[in-house]
Amino acid sequence: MIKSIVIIGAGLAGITAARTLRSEGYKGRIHMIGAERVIGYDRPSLSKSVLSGKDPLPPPLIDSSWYDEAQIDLRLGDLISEIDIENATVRFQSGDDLIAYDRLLIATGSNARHMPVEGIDLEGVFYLRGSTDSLALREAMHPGRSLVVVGGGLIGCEVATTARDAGLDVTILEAGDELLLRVLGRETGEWCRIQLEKLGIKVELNTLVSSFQGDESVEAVICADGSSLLCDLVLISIGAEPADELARDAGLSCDRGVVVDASGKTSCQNIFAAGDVASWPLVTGERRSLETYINSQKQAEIAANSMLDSPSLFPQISSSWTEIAGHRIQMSGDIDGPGELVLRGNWQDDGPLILFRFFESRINAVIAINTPKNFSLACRIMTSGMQISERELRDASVNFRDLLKK
Amino acid sequence: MSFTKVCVFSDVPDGDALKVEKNGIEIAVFNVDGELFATQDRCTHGDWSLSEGGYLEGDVVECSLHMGKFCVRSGKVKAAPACEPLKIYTLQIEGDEVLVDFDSGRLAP
Repeated sequence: MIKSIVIIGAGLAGITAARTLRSEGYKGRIHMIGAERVIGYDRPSLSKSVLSGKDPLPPPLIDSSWYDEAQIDLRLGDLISEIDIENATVRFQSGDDLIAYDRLLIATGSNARHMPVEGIDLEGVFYLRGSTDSLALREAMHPGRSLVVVGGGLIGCEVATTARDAGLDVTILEAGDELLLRVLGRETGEWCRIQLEKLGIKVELNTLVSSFQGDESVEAVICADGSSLLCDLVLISIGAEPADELARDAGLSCDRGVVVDASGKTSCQNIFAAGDVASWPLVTGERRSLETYINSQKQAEIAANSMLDSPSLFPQISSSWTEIAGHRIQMSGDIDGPGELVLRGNWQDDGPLILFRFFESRINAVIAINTPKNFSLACRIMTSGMQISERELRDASVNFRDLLKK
Repeated sequence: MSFTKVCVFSDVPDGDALKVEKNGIEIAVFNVDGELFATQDRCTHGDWSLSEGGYLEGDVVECSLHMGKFCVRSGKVKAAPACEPLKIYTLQIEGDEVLVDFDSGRLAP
């Protein structure tokens, strides 16, 4: 009999798991512990509508009344200092109290990757992970100020867009030879760079940062080649690290995230993990932390069912979206991999564009720019494993919906 | 009741959806096996058009942004993360013409 479930983490994965537990009929206790002082909120908005000021605060993931209604024992602004696997308890950092669990879910998310260089602690140097980070950066984003974004991944490019819209002078410094390489691949990365440059954002590729200079506030970025760039503000957006310290300390198997099977189970049979902290199996046979909203949500649903002893195996396909330079981009699957890239549309256009990784007559990955309907349909074709021809992918007169009806 | 012609029936193929708009009110018209339904176009959870960015399967539309699901007959939530139902609108067919009452937006009981 399961009487006590502890969920460490009160963000998307934690909340989704709790909702799923209740909707599946679990009536026992649910303890949810969140490190931040506020109830769970929509994190993707931090680089977009919250940073622009369109949303004064990030929208809550679920109404504050839900926690009582669903009888969640919620403890915010506190940390778990230890998981004791032998006694099946967790210990709070703030005191000596313990909670016993029958099932434990680790949903601690990820942290912004730190950049250990000189001057990183200067005023005006920001990371973006939590609500307070976004609000602080917003406060500092006065029109006319100059912002240097270190790292040209999704968050860097999203923030660059928002800051440019707000009237800042923006430069992106990227260590690689193209923006967005890891998530979107070279072709889409280049297209995005051109769109960002059209907005007046400067992009410097192959550029490593060696330090930040200034008295109290940052005044310049010093690059590895010795060049310097004056600035008022800096955003460090060089990726995320799964917050798996607790799991590692407890002796759970970890490898850049808590290693779980495709039902969310860790190396310990009554402990589960979901969301950014979990290194989850993929349909391709690899595994990693996916760092996406959609996958976190899906994993939390799967892990919640596993916790109630009805496990099913769901290897994941990475699925996400972004807004860069005013364009809505959705992606599913890894664009890097075997096969060839097939484009419907023309890279010289603003879109709609849809790029496929096509391998052995099947879609292995999709990136859709400004064409959400085709994205949904192409994802269905991909997950169905249906065979398709290169011509059908490329030819804009072929309706994906008709193909699905076959 | 004031109905406005928004499209002809063949504009909304079976299993598909069409966005129609009047005075800033955006409505999605869905075709479920030959029967049309009208709901608010914007997902109640994220800023996303359900007619353009949704996937209709039977009478349930899935938003491609966060994968929330709604029944297009009733507007009711079928899957998280959505919490709030969609408004539904009264729709009429006259011959080949599709008419919607843009003032009829309401939540199903």
